[in-house]
Amino acid sequence: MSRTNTLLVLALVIGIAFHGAALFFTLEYTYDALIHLFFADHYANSWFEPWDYRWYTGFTVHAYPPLVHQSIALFSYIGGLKFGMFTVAFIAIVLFITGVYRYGLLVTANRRVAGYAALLAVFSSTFIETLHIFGQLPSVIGLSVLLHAMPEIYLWIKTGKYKYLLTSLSLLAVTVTSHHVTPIFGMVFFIFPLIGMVIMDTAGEKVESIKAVSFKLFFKAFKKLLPRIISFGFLSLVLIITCILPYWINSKKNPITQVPIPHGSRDNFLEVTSSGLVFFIIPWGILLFVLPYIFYRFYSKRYLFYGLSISMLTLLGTGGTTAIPLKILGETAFNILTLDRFTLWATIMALPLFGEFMYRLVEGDLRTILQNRFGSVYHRILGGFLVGGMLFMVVFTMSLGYFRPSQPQKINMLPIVNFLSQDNHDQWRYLPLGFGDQMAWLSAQTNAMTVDGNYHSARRLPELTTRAIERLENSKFRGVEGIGSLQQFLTVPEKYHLKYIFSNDKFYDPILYFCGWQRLQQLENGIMVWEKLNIPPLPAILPKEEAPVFLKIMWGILPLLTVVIAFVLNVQLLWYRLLKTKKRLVPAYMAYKISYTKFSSKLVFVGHVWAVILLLFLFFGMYQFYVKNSAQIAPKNVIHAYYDALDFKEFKRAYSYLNPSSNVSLPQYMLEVAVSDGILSSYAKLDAISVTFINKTSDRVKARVQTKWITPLEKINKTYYHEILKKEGKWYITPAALDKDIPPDQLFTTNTTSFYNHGRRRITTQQTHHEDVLQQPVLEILSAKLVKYKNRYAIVGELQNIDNVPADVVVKATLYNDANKELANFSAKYHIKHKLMPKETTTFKINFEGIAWSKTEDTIPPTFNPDEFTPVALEEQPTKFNIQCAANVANTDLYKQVSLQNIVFTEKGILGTLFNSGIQEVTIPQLLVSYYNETKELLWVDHQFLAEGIRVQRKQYFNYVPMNVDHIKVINSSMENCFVNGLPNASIATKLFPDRNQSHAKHQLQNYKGNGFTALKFELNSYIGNPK
Amino acid sequence: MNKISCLWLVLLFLNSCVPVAENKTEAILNATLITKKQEYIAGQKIILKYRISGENIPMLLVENAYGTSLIQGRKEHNEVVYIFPSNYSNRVGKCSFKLIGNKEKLDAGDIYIHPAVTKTRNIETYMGPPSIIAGGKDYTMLVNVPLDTYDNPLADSTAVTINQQFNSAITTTEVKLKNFIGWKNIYAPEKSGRILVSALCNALASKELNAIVFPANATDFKIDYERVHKYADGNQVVSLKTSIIYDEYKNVVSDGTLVNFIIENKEGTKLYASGTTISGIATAKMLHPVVADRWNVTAYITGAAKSNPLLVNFESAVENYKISHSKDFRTITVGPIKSFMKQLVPDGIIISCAIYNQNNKLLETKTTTSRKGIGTFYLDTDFYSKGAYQIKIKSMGLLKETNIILHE
Repeated sequence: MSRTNTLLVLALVIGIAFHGAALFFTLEYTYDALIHLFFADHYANSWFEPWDYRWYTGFTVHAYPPLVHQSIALFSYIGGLKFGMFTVAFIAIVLFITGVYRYGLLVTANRRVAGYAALLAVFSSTFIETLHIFGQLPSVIGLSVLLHAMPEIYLWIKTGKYKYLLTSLSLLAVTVTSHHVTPIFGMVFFIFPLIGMVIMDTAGEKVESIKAVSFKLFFKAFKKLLPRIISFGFLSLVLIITCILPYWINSKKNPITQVPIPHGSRDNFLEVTSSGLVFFIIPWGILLFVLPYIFYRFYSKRYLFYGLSISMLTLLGTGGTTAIPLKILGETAFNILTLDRFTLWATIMALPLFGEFMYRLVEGDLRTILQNRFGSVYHRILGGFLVGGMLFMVVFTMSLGYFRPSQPQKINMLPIVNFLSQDNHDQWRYLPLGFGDQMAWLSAQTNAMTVDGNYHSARRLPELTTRAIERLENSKFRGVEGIGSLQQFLTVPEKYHLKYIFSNDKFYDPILYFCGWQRLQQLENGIMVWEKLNIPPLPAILPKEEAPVFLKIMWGILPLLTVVIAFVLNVQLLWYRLLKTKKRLVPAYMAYKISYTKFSSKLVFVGHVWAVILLLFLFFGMYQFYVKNSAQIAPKNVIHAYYDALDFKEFKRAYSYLNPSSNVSLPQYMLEVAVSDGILSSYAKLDAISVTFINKTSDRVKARVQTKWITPLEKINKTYYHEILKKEGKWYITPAALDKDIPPDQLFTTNTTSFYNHGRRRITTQQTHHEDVLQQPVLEILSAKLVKYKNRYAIVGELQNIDNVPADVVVKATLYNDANKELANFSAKYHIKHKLMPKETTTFKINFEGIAWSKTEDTIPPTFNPDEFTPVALEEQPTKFNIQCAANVANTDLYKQVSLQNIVFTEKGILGTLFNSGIQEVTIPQLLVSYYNETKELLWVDHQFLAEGIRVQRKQYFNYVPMNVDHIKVINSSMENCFVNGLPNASIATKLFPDRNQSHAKHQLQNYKGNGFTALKFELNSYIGNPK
Repeated sequence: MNKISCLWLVLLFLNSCVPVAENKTEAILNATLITKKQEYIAGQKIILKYRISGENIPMLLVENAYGTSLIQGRKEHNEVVYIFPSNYSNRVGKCSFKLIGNKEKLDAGDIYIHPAVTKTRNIETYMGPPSIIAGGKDYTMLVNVPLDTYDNPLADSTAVTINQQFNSAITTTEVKLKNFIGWKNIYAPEKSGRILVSALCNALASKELNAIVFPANATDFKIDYERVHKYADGNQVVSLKTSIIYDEYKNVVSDGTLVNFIIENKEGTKLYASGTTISGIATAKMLHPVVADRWNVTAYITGAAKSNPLLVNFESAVENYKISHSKDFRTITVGPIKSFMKQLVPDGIIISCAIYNQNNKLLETKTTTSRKGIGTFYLDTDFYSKGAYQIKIKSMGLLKETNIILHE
């Protein structure tokens, strides 16, 4: 055996030092690593049982090939889950570098070149991205083992020795059990070209060089090798099927019938430049400059099939930039696959030739030609440029996660884990919000279950599978489907036994409040726990899909067995080689070494032209970036920049766009910003902005700015007016005048009744210590009607807390047809005051919401609208209804000190003033507006959220445009099926409120002649973002 | 050793294990119960003695409400003794037994076990609901189950003494157990407060139980207001207050009861404020209006009670104000607006300025808030070219019009 390959050793040393050290700072922040950790935790706890209750109301781990997860689980027995994960990641690094070396050796038959390839593999931006940003461990391991398998496959087909068939199949089996997509596409894109190369080599033996191989000769060689190819193909197919048979059976049983989830790799990279960066520029990296060489070499006769393959991969990797990948893959495959993997494979495939290029540049014929033509300085500059570019890509890729974190800050999970295991909290499901992929790490540490999950192919609830959301946890990034789906879970949480929400993002707080949730406590890691009352705990026995025992055993044993077999077969050979116990044969592929003597000068020219074109693109991109970001060259730009700054809360930047001579100092401006709160300033994201000029002169513009804001509750349209003026060539916005209103009192007192509920007075785990069980407050339903408005059905009504303690109210209604068949049920969402003081009344409305876009053929609107409403599709006409309302003692969110200060009826709507007389700042005031007919009976309930909050002793203005309720049809107003805390409403009314004065409610209505109604009532509901 | 002999040995061994029972069945002739006692107290040892002729000892099958067991007898002299296990002898009620020998019933009988009254150990009590409404209609129910040491309920007609304490008066009643349970409905008194209840049985006391008596529905009440001055300055706060609200039994209503104040103004629109009671008094706060107004306030506890109507008059704070122009008419200054003592109005008074052109078309409405009694509007040269304009200024309910002519 020849001496040790120093380059390979160098690559391994650097690779382990560099990636190994970086792993500890990157892997936990990647998209996927923690998901694999969760799966590993599953195997560590129940190796053979595939069912996991913790995600998606239960799912099977047969949905993902298990090898990597089981390996992590195995190592976790030594040093914990994270130890397992890092160990496996180290193995992945070693496998990858050696894999590239062996693959390089196979392709180039040159140990030095292969060494270069291995060294370049260490610094390849695609590998860095896959490992350190995406955290795709199974994919990396699958691919690396596939690279290891390739020489063995070559040798089998070339020599026909059965030991190579065994080694190649054993390695393929490992690939299959670690990642399912890799071997399938690997067959097409890696092994087919390899087979092509073997045939070419075999055919080449008949003539003096491969260049002389004719199609006839090629076909003859093909015929000769066909039995080996077929046997290999057939056996590998058998392996792919049997090794992960449970996976295939599960895919057949639970086909992925979900709405495709948008993925950046399917974007048009020219339009969505961020996707272009992540899924094209970064993986290709410096390779982009070497593309002409790579394609030139791959299209030489021996590598012809590689050429075809890499062209295809490159093309598919461009995602939605052109329509071609869509046409090639077809609609279904295009929408299921993430296309970045094609780019990954293309860049890995190119590595040997990149190594070859570098070899020729550093010590080969390219060096000679460059030095002869352009001088040695130029050669060094070029080399420096390439190495510099590569290092830049390495640093840039590694730092991507630092500058644009894809994950929220690392959350200390211990307080949450403790909370869940205390006081039986894990008897309900929980939901994390704003955790990013760290939710998987939380799930791995607790036995508690969540309705959410982080492996979207395993989603089961139709509420999730019919929406293009990967997780509820980050639903705000998924627009209407996201928030819509989340709202569904928040409105009827009892359906899922969902009681606790851990909120790491205050964006979701308003939606939680208005859906009837309440804050329980803030944990020491800053996570706010929200809870919903009146949720039944999980039953002791949960539904489960049972898998046959033989599948469980297969799944538990086969994957690691493949590793053991592959280890024995391959390492044993290696051992033989090292100990030189046998005379070692030089592998057959080593016969195709080519000498690098004459670098094509045409190629040098083409390469330069290509590099210049690329550089031009680069500079053009930079220039575009600059122009977009110069804010003050036109009035429109300054408005856009100003609102962008406001949107991202960069108030200092926003201030820089204000007219410097307008006497507003920066501290004054910051102070004004600091005191404004409300849904717009604290919970909104700017969605769209359009600027129209009302008046325009050369240096002064009056603009109407129409903005659309996305809030967790609904879409808000707001129009602003700005005066913009030009000063010294720059445009500035004239700041709006501040409201100079001052409250009358500097210090004032207010008295309120506050309530406290001990929960358990005795510290015991006994579940129902009956003396500590609080009586449910008694409600009375005053009226309820089933109405039809614009083809949607709703139940409107009024109820009162007739008890002496505050109540948290849950109202659930069910619709029936004449034959008493249940048609739909839903709970009250925004149209109710969920917290009622003693004797307080509230109107309510229950919309019967369906699961939005439950039919996949429904087109999903492209823009975000959290207020989107999908009426439930009713099979039959509802004619009756049943209302079940339940109350529990409430002791929070009982702020009632907002008054309706003034009302003016105008043609443009009802202008009103609210006044906050208490001592809490109301963040989001909500108006509940109810409509009444001539006999003062309730017809409809509407709502309006005010965009700005009301500070203490201040006013806030609203403009409410009354609806046209002419077409409302009352279908049923019988109250016979109304129940309170499970008891009939009528009996409660006669017992506790026998002499109700019906006129009181009527006297409180506002007379107003409108379309279809004669009276209105305004009720106020206040969300306090920061209770003091 | 060959296989055949091995087999033989095994067969031989098996054969020796089979009991040769058939021969002895004939031996049992009859069994006579010697023990005559049929009634026991729980906890007493129950021993049945039989005189049995024959070699074989039959088994005794005992059965009570909890289960069935077979007891092996022990031969003493010429008697066979059966001792009941404690989980049968401690359980109150009927306990049946059957003597079974050779698959045949030889004898059967019943034993009655009575609770160990003298060893009353515990009284299981439950009272619910935990809160009731004053007035004598609503009630809470106390349920007692006194138990002996062995967790057996006591016999019917055992007396249970129930003590109840309310408003420092203690009343005692006695109930008799029926079907093991002693219960009593405790009706709410007319006063609100807390009822403490306990039960006693055979000198053994239960824990303390309590029920809260909440006041009944509110009755009509009075309202009044408090304010700093009578002027509609749009700045001061007026408090609307109820009298102490009682229910029909003169209990102060529960803290936190919501009172709606409906304020009808001069235009007939209804404004709204709410307050929750503390010690029966609810307070709601409103700002003074900006124009002279006459508020007609009624407060409601919806469905239950209503207040007297209350009139609150506000006089206008500002009688008049001046409008002045700059020389070029482009700056319009409103004010200084002076309030009822000729002082400047508090900051933040809304002043609106509607600008009409010659054809009486509204061009723009500008709004500002006052500072030191003054508000200014600027008509920009870029947007307001030369010509005549009509300006309508509105503040504190006072409308003022002026015509201006702008030059370049």
